[in-house]
Amino acid sequence: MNRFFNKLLSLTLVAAPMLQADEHYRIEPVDVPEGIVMEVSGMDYADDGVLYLATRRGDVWTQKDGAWRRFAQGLHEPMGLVIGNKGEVFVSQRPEITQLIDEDEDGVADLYQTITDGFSMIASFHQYTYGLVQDAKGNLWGTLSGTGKTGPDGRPASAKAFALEPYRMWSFKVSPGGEFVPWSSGLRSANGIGMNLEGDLFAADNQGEWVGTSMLHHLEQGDFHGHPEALRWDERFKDKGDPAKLPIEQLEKIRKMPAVFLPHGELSNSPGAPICDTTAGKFGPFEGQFFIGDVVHANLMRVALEKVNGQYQGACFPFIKGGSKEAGEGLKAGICRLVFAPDNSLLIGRVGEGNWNRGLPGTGLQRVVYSGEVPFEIHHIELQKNGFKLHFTKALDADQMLSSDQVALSSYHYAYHAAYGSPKMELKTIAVSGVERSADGKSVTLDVAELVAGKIYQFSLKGITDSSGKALRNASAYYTLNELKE
Amino acid sequence: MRPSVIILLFSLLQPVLGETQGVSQKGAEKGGDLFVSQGCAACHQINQPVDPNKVMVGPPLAAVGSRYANDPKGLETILTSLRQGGGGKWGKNEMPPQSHLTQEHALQLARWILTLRQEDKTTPALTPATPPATPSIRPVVHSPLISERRVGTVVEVLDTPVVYRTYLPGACSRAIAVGLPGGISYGFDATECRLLGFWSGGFLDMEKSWTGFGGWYASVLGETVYEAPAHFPLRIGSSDKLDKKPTVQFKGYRLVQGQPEFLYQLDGHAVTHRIDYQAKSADKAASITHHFSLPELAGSVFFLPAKDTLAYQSDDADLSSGIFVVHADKRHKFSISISLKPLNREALKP
Repeated sequence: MNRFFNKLLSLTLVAAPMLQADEHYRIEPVDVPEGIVMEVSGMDYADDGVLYLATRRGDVWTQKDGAWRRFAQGLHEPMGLVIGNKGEVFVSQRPEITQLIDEDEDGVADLYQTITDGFSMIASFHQYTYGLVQDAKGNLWGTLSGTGKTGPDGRPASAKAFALEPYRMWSFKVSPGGEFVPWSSGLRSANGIGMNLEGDLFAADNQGEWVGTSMLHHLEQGDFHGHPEALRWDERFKDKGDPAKLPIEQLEKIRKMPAVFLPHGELSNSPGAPICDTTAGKFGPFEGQFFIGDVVHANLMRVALEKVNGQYQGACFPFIKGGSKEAGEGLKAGICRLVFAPDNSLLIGRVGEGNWNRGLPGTGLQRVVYSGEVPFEIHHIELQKNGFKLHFTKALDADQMLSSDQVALSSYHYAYHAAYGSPKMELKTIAVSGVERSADGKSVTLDVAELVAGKIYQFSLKGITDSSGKALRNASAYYTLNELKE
Repeated sequence: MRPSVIILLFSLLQPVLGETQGVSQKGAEKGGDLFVSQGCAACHQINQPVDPNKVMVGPPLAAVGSRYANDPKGLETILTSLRQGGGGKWGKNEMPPQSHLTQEHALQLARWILTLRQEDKTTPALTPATPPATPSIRPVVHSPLISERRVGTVVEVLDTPVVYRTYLPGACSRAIAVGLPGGISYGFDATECRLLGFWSGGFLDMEKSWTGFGGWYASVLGETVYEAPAHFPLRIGSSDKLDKKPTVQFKGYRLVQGQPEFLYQLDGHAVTHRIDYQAKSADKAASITHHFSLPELAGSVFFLPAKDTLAYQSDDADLSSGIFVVHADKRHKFSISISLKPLNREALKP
């Protein structure tokens, strides 16, 4: 498509109400039923193209060809929904994991079958049952958030979370036979769960006490992700007093670092569920990478991971920012759940009311549609022994001289402590000593003055253009370095 | 949007807009953006909550602005709270240190907060020239796509039963509310697998669950007409083990013409349990009937009523020493009815 036409098209789209665009991705509104508060808390598509959508108010809706129908009612704050490998509809609600079955095939569920309620919950705030994904073997996966302290009037008494009942602050597996298996611990409030193409599980914990900034964790059995309250239900610490009082040095030894830190304020505040790009390039050149939305910020982030010494780590990037001139004016906050539609657009489910009303009213749906014109972005960052290799989605301008001035690099970390959140600690500029473009022009290797494990490396690129002279669509990146390259 | 809602919004927003206009202090203009981008809105409203039902963790910032407006140490107080966290000034809640804020942002926010003023209820709001760009609340109206009516957070039962899982006062945390047409509702405990009781009047107000921070009880709208005895009533097997509490495991429910049939395991045996209500007639008091089905069972079945058994009646079981023994040929399917005399709490003690 020629560029003039593109520009014209994007101008036309901007002029249309509720519709914003750039030439790569445009944001479109999606209608929801009138008179229904559509606080989207779970979404998935069935093989026949029917969208199943759970809301925090307890309904499950179906939508096909624009026609909405209520499939189930009266669930207790469901925060996850997945269509199983055999077309089953599973929801995670506060008290249990439930399968919704339409026995008489009239399009409305008749049987609300308890799959498991093998975890505790008390009448206190928070305590969400976040989910859900299913693996190839038929196991269901989710996370249980901590318990909030509730005052006598039911209002939150503090922002702190507890895990006084099993298995709050754990991720869990539910076997095809319905057995509840606690999986990994120390998640404060990981709102949703995602699975990559390899079948590995990830969840984004929300910033708070012991969680310096929001962070994406790789969940493996027995992992401890950092919030010590959860250790009450760990065999190693059970009945040994208050685990939150354990020395931080001891906790640091057993803590698994997150695969990626999501910088608070800049990219995230309250991330929702990660969704893996399974569109095989039909949503842009990001297959296998994660997209994550944010409930407070009108933000979509992108995460590209690599394995170093057998452990996931990698970079997060801004993808679409609400309010940005380039693309995001149409993107709204409240983003909780994402799902790829059969047409390979990305459906955005917004939960922003009630408990989730962060002063930013916003419920319902939007979608992101890819135009097919490849955006010029940092595709992923690959750690080197002495620096980083930045891979781009397109070749760089071959005539352009590259210099280290074009890369502003800094490093920092977030404190691991009982306090709520953390500033950037030991923030400092890192000198870039060498910049080398690859033969194909699609990557640049940076030699840097120092690499230290446990740091986040923040990149800000200037004046780098593709062969058509176009600037990077997003010029910043944040690489979480847990493991150094041998 | 209905005109009344627009007017309400105007009157709430106008004082804030009025006060911020004409403010020339450096940084104050950006405060509104920072309020959103830095996550303040997670716990604070600018002015009093637009929806008074909404629970906010922190005080409205206009109240903070009003309090410290003429305090020479006001700016410092707000900055200290932002940097070190605050608490005790407005309520029991503590604000954690906002350590993600840069010094510049903290200063901009503090200055902006000081420009905000609470609405003065004695002064009528001026008629605004332009409507607010983004209405903050949406009226919740009835949708023909759902079988119940939701008026705000109040759920009204129409002509089909409604089943809502929620926290119910006095129940364990896994509870189910069932609203029947005709203004009668009951609660079921999905941990103990037993009836909690019936109420008459409205169904539920979901306010604390839907618009609060979650996790609080739904309000039962109506008067209690029956409190079930606080024990699981069925026993199977030998008559000398009636004191032993059986093991029950909830398995879900099936909606039959909108009414739930509760499914659970009793010592490993499948049970289907339906609860019906019969309204009062000319010659009969209102009554409740438990319908049990235990298709897999071979042995004896017992039903333990309340201490006062006068209200109980069954064609499928004989009362013997205060316990119903289910007839051998009715074990797979039997019913027990309870006549609803005026509520006698003494009689409910097991």
